[in-house]
Amino acid sequence: MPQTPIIQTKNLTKYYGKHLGIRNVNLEIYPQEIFGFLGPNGAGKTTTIRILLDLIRPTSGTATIFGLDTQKEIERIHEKIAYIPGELEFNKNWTGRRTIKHMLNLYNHAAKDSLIENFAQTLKVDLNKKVKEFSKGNKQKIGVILALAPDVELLVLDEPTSGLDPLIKNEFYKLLSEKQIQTKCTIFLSSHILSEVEKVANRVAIINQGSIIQVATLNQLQQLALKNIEIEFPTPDQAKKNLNKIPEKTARNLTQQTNTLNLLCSREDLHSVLSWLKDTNFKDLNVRNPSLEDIFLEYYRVQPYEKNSNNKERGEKQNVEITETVRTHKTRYAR
Amino acid sequence: MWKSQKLLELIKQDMLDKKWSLLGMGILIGLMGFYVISLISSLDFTQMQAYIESLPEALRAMLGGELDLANPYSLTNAYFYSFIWLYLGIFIIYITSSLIPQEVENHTIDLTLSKPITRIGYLTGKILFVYAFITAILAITTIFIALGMSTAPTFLEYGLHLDRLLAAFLLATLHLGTMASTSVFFSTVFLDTKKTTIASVVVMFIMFFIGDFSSLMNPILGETIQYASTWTYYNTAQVFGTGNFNSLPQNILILLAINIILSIASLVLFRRKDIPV
Repeated sequence: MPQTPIIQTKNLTKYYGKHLGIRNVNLEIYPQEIFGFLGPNGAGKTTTIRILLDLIRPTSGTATIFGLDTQKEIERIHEKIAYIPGELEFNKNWTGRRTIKHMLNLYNHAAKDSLIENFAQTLKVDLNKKVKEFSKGNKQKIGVILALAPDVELLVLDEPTSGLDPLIKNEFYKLLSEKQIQTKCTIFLSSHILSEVEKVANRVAIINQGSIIQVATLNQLQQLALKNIEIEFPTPDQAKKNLNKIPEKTARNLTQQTNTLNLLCSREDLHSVLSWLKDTNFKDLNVRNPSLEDIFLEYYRVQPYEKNSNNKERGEKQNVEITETVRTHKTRYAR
Repeated sequence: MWKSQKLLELIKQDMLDKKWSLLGMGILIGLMGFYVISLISSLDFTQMQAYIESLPEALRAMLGGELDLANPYSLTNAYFYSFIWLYLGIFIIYITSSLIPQEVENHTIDLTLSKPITRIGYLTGKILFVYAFITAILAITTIFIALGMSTAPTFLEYGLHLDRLLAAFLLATLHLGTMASTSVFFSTVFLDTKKTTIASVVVMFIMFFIGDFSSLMNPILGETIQYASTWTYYNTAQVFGTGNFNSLPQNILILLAINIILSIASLVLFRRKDIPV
């Protein structure tokens, strides 16, 4: 029997006056998933999250969490959610401890003091200091404690590691994974740092200019048509000479670093690139799946090109693609 | 049960944040009331009445009439309760106008509203805090005035009427409450501290002019439009000044209704409002 999604949005659209926030966002996130939500600044990640939390109302479309309408039963939904906003701010005159206590007191089941102290120790943050004395990173740590301390079924994390140093970032993802294993909670993680999402997410959605352009598992995303090709030539001059001979429209993100050419190409174009290579005196060749970063950048590059096409048509086309992808994953996760 | 605990939590935190403002302003205005009473504690009201009667009738009307100055209660009202909007009203507007918009401007509201509390619950907490704040400030002030009255020879001679003080306290609470609820209403409209403060202060001055001057400027029209002002129902001159309680229940009900209507309008508006980033 198929599982009911924890989060489900149907054609979620938000306009801020005439300005588009998001358009026809369809998402289905299943229990115990760690779902990455990727996109550049202004892509619509925070808008989607704020609609899910009922901080803003959609222009059209619906959103449900735990099967409950986000506009009608938000208190019941919030009882089972912990959230870190993208722009995390607290009352500057409060201490870290007072901030955490106050926020957690709004839950019916408050977290234990010892748990809060443990998190504070692990994250190395002094809860007796006033928020105004905190660095951005330390404020973020308070947010992390607020997300991890309550006993909830869903974590909604909007850029949770921004401002954290690499060590604490790793600690955070470790704590997050532990929390997920212990409580089997679902995690909705928005970020633009792909390498971080890559570490923990099962599936990701890529959003750009308000529309979801892909929903896929990490493996699928990495195998999506694109290949990263690294060609080494004997000298930089030869590399430069060959750079102009690459078959037209096959290479993307073409760059030269001394005697090495680096490019992305679709799987379909792989044959023409390889047949061109036959006639060159390349020294070494490396073909690999691109990093998520490369795929992500590629999506950004493609989107402005599509901007001039009929928006409505584009939205509908994407919607069909997304529905297809979601259907595939629904089956996958509904076991 | 949980809902009331959450409301109390919200009110408690706001009270803790504003405790020094509350105590400071309560004591300051209380001392001011105490000072007013000490100024009139040795006045000869017979001589004063004779002097007022010698003034032209038009000037007497402008001063608020003989009624307002003929006894220590009337004089205290003229100097203190009539100007409570100035002493405390602007301060209350200042506090209330920033209460919600500041959380929006500081981006702290997102985190609060992502916790298990409805927007109605959140705003109700804020509204209840505002009334608790006003009540507490006026309670401190009233204690000082009661102390002043009980030690002033003029009041002791005239008779201690704590019922008048209690009625004035009630009316002042509701009067300041209308200013605060106007502010809460505008803050849910604009979600912006500056705009809310300006709109609330403008409305306050309009109400003041309609209530206090419309009948002087145009006796026929003014008589009617003065009822559009909340100042008309804040009639401490009658209640505190002369001990006439006839219109007190009616005035309390009207002020209470205005407070409730504005609060409900704010709740309805805030429930549907997008919280800006």
